[in-house]
This record gives sequence, structure tokens and C-alpha cells, in this order.
Amino acid sequence: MQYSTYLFILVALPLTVCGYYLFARLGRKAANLFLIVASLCLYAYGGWKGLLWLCVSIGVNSLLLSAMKRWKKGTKALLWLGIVFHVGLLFVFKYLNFAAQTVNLVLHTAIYPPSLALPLGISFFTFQQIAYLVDASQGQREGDSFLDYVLYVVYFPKLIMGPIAPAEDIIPQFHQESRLRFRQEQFSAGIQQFTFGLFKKAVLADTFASAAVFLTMEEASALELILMMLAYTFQIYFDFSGYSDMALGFSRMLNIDLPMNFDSPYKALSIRDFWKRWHMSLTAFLTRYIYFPLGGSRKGKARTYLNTIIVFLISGLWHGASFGFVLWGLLNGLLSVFERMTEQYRKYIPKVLQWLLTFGVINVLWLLFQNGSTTEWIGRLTKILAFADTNICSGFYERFLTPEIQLLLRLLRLDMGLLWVRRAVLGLFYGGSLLLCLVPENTCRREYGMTARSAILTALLLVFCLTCLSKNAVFVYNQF
Amino acid sequence: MKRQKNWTGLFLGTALVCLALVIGLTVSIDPYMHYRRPQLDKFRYEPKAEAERSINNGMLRHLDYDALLVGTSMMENTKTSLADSLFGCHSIKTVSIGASWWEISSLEALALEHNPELSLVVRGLDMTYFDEAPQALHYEIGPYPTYLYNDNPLDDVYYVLNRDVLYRNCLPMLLDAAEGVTPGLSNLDDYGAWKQEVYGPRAAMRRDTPYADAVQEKLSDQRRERVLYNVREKVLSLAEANPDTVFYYFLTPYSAAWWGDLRQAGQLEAQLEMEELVIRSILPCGNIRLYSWNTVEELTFDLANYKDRIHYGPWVNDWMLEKMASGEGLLTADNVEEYLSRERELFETFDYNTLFDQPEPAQYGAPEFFRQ
Repeated sequence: MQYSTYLFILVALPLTVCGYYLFARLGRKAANLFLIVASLCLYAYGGWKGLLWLCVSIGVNSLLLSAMKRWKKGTKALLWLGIVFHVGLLFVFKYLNFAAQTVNLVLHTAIYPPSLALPLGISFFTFQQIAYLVDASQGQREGDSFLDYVLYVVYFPKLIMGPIAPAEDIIPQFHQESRLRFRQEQFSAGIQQFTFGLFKKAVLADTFASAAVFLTMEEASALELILMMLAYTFQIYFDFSGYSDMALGFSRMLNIDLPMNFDSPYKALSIRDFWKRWHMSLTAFLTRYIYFPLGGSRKGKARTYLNTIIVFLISGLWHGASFGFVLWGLLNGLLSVFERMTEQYRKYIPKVLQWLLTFGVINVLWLLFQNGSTTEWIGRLTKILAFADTNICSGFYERFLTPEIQLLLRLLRLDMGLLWVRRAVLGLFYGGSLLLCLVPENTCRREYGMTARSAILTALLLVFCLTCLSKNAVFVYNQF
Repeated sequence: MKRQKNWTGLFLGTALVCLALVIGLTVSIDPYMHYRRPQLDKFRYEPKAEAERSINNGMLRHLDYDALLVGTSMMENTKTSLADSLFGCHSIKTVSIGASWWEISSLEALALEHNPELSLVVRGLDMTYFDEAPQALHYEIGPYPTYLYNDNPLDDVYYVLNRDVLYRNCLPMLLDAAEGVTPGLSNLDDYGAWKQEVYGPRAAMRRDTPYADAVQEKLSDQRRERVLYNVREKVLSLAEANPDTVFYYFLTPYSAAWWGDLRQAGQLEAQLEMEELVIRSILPCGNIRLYSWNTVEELTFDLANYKDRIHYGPWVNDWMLEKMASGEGLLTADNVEEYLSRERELFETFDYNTLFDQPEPAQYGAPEFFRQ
């Protein structure tokens, strides 16, 4: 079930929060059991087939974990068996068609595997299953019960789109009796963070989404291509960070803290800095379970660079099954390596220029990410660089003349047909969004007040967002 | 700032009051006429093209009318005022751009179910959809607001907490009332009607390459079954169940450019066969008057009438209404053979490349033939 739906916000969320604290009165086990059942119900709403595969994944991992406990000598073999199973499952659902296309391209064969519906969140829960298995093989999960493990995997706030939380951060919280009591400050912070996330998603991301794909490369002028590129940059950030805020906020209402996933990434002054701020839980997972086992930075410079590139290639492939995503990962890796190599010269570049360069590169890389096709990406970049046409068609302006903006213009007695009014609205969206990315404290770091004003403003913002859910929207990161 | 002791209570209270206000406002104004008859003495209702699918249902159930103009973009420029004067009726127009036969038939069925006074229906039968899937619903043209068409009160949340309903309709209607705008229903002639567009061969053909010959495919048994099913279930069943209503149906007259593309794709023969099936199936039905003007060369062969391969100018809608009222173009058992052979001859033998020689119209407007 998507967070940005009436069913979730008006029914599922209140029922889950109330149910949790009611069952908590019966004890920790009852509360955790309730969370498992609620999570599975919320997940099953997206389709029973997905639930089936989630259960298969849990079942196989449980057998392996149980075997690890009994057969200590075979731990390593069991771990590899588990990794092969989980990666295999992910491969079948996500990469089989891509692999077949590649084989067909290279060997001129005609292999067409059946296309399977991707279970919701498989990329996320697969990584968590592997992480848990690795931790267990190292003896770190000895004290966990079966219920702890199942709840860790299926815990809904992080199930379908992360954050990919390490077991040691989450499972101890399931054991704390103090978390079974309703705490107003936690609920207040949670609902405020959830509402900010909903605003990012329903109002900002969805508006930018319609602009990001409004024109084809052939139709668009150079300026429109730039605006569409920026629109996607804002869309993907507000979409995914909005989701993360909702996930963290929802979990906070249940007194469970999830790890921060975004740390104002567009404030980054380098690509490496960006990846420390963007989808932090994925970066942490890849660092801990791939970069470090490969040797990290302990085996010399060349090996460090190679390891960095390997990690980014895997990240690219994780995001999507196409050569475009692989190239996107590779370019991020190469840029990170380049930054490591030139680290000592960075201090000579003014910070403003560092930010501009980084933000520009991020935009160009998102352009590749958005299109997935290198031909389209190069075509768009060429047209942008030529900068031959600066026309903005009326339809593009209209993407930002949302119903409430139209009403506001009417109240202000401003004619939305006037070019300066349209430009002002466009500027308001782009400028305001950039400021929102750069100026305020991150939603995870900020202190949430418990004043009467915050209660009223949060309620008003929530109701406003609810009136903006008229279309069933889907999160961009769902496809991963 | 002072810490609020009962923050949760204040938050929930405010949210619930605001939600109740928004829902109450939508339900009381009800701009899509979902719950009740429009309050024509209080508010100004202006059905808009971007909300066709949303408002049609309420209009059909809650407006007063005895005639219905219904269809896709092929009907959008049809004028209720002209229909009223030609047929002596009080008509409304419910159109849905790009809608399937199933969707249009559902609108018709809804009108017939809710309005026993309905005595006349005018509908264009889109020729591109003869053999479409039985329950086809075209989502590519936009979301279908199922919540307005079913009886489930729970999914009405999509209506009562709706961005377009609240900010584009309810609040502007309140502002209109406050500013003294005359209440009532806007002129339905304009509902769905297009702005001034560019017509002519370049716009209609949108191609530079000459039309090529192709081997013509015969109509398969599967497609034939579909056509027969569609006619039976979506056209004949409604007419037979409502013998007191007269149905004026017409085959949407697409341009020669469309026929040329069909021929090049090897589908001309199949299309002609489908059309013949449709005509022969409908003709015996006593209360359906089926019209076709495909063979009127001044219409289909003059690309000055079209803004793309299929969409004709508003003057064609006026002309067709007049022809229906006067009976010209009516297909009957007596003239059907002649019509079919004439149509086949025209579209099979026409040199489509001569369409490139047609001049662009000097200005927007009806060609001479329609001005007479």
C-alpha cells in the first residue's frame, strides 16, 4: 500500500498506530505480533503474489539461519547458498529480461523469457535478507528470536522502499518496553515529518513529474530541456526523500526510529559528498557488505579506485536493468575516483563553484538515469549545449498552474494568461524548490516543536495535502 | 514558545474540523452533480472539457432533458442549441474524448435508466472502434473516475477530497456567487467544443511520403465476431430495450487521408467489411436511424475540413445535424447496396497521392460547400 493514498492516511495509518498501542498493553510480544500481521496486510494490498515471494524469501532464510545455528562448520557454505538464492530471486524478477536482451544482442539469439511482475520492494528486502544472513554468519544475531527476524524483514515502514536498516539498529528497539507506551512528543514529531514528506510527494514531486516528461527531445527547445532536466532533479529528490520522511515519520509514531536516508543531498559540494547524503542507507549497505569485504581502501590506491567503481556499478545495476543504469553507476564511480585523486586541489576552488559544479554534474547524471538510454541522453545534452532555442511553450508553463495556484491567481486578480505571471509561477516553483533543498534544516535533524502553532499548521498542511491526492500517484523508487 | 500539553488532541481536532469543512463544502456545492440536482439558482455550473469523464455521470442523472447528444471528440462541437431548434427538443451534450464504444454506450444506458423522458439520442459511431475489445476503456486518455460511476460511498473520498473539485470548481463557484456572476448552467454548445484550430491537408495528412500500395487483408473471423458482439451489445440492445426512444446514429466521417493510411496498411478491405457488417446489423432495428456521409466527396475528400486524419471542423457537426433532421444520408434497405458499392469504389480507386495537391485553406472556416 502506498503512503500517499487516502486508504493509507485515513484508514491504515490510524488503525496501525492505535492497534499497536492497544496490543502493547498486552505486552511486547503481542505488540510485535500485531506489527507483523499489520505489515503483511499492508504489503498484501499490493498483490498476493508479492506476499507469496516475500514469504518464500523469509522461509528460505529462516531455514538457512536455523541450519547455521546447528551446523557451525557449514556457516560459510550456508551463507553463500543464501546469497545465491536471494540474488537469484532478484535476478529472475528484475534482470532476466535484461540478461536475455544482452545475450540476444551479443550472440544473435532469440531468447525471450516470460516477463514477471516485480514483487513490491524486492530490491530492498533482498538486501536486508542478505545483510541479516551475513550478520548471523558472523555470530551477531544470536539473541534474536524468529519473531524478531520476521518483524525486522517485514516491518512495513521500511519494507517497500527502505531505508535499508541494519538489524542491530532495529531489533533492539523491538525489545524495549519503554517503546510500548504512547509518547506524545514522538507522535508529534512523527506526524510532522510524515506531513512534510507527503507535501514533498503530493505537491512538489508530482508537479515536477508532469513537467519532467512533458516534451520529447525533438519537440523541446534547449531551455525547455534544461527545465525538464531540473524538473526531474527536483522530482526524484522530493519523491524519494518525501517517501523516506513518511516512512520515518510513520515509524516514529510507533516509537521505532529508522535510520536517516537523506541529508540534504543537493547541498553537496562533491559527488562523494552527495553519495554520503543521498539514499544513505543504500550507500551504507554497499560500503559495509561490498566495499569493505573487497578490501575497501586498505589495499592501496589502485584497489581503492577499483573497489569504488565496482560498488557504483552494482549501485547502478540495482537501480535498473539496463546499460544506461550501468553507465550511470560507472560515471558516478569514475567521478568519485577522480575526486579522490584530486582531493588536495579542492581547497583552491571556491565553495560556490564546487556546489555549482556538483549540482550541474548531478543534473546531467540524473538525465541519464531518467532516460536510461545513452542515445537519448547524448542527444539531449547536445541540444542543451548548442543552446539554439530558448522558447518555453505555453503547455510547459501550464504544468505549474496547478488548481490551487489558479485559484490563488484569481484571488490576487492576476491573469494567468499573462507571460510575466506564468514566468513568476515557474520561477516560484523552481526557485522555491531550490531554496527548500538548500536552506532549511533537514527533516530528520530538525527539532519538531510541540507548540499550538505547530499542531494547527501541521493539521492544515496535512488536509491541504489530502486535497491534492486526487490522482493515484506512484513513487518513482517503487520500480526498484 | 509555549509547549502544547495536548498537542495530539489539538492536531487531531484541527485536522478533523478542516476535513469536515472541505468535505462539507464539496458535498454541498457538488460541482459534478454527483449527489443531487445542480443548485442552478445559487451557483454557476460550467462543465469543462478537462473534466468530461467526471461530470457526464452527474449531468445525465440530474439535469432535465429529453434529448441526448453523446459521443467522443467526433461530437464535441455538436451544438445543443441547434439540435433543439432542428428537432424541437431540450437536449444536453455529454462527450468524452477518445472514449470507447463501451464507455459511450454506458453513458447512453445511464441516461436511459435515469430519464424516462429521453426520446431522442444522437451519437457518432466511431469507425476506428468497430472491433475493439468488448469492455475496452481507454485509460491512455486519462484516469477513469470509477468512484463517480459506482454505488460505493467509501470511494467517494476521491471526489470529496479532490484537488480539481475543490480548487477548480467549488471555491471558484463560491467566488462567482460572491462576485454576482449569474447562476445557472453554462451553454452546453461550448462544453467540449474546440478552440480555433489549424485545418487543411498539411494538418490532416501529417506526412511527406507518398501513399504506397499494399495487399489488402480480409476480415478475420475473430474480428468479425467482435464487430457483431459490439453492435449487438452496445448498440442494438439499448435500442431494443427502449423502443420509444429514437436513436440517430452516424458513422463518423473520417478524411480520405485516414482511408489512404488504411489502404497503405492493408486494412481497407477489412474496414469496409466491418462497416458493412455494422450497417447490415443495425438497419433492421426500427428505432435506429443510421446515417453515413462517407461518400460525400465535398466532406471526406476535402482536407480543408480536417485538423488531423479524423477530426472535422465544427461546421461539419452543424451540417450533419441538419442532414439528420432532413433525412439526407439516411441508410435504408433501399439504398444500402448503392451506398456500399459507391463507398467501396471511391476508397478503393481513389489516387490518394492527389491529396498532396490540395491547397491549404486561406483562412480558418467552413469551405464553400458547407456555407451554402
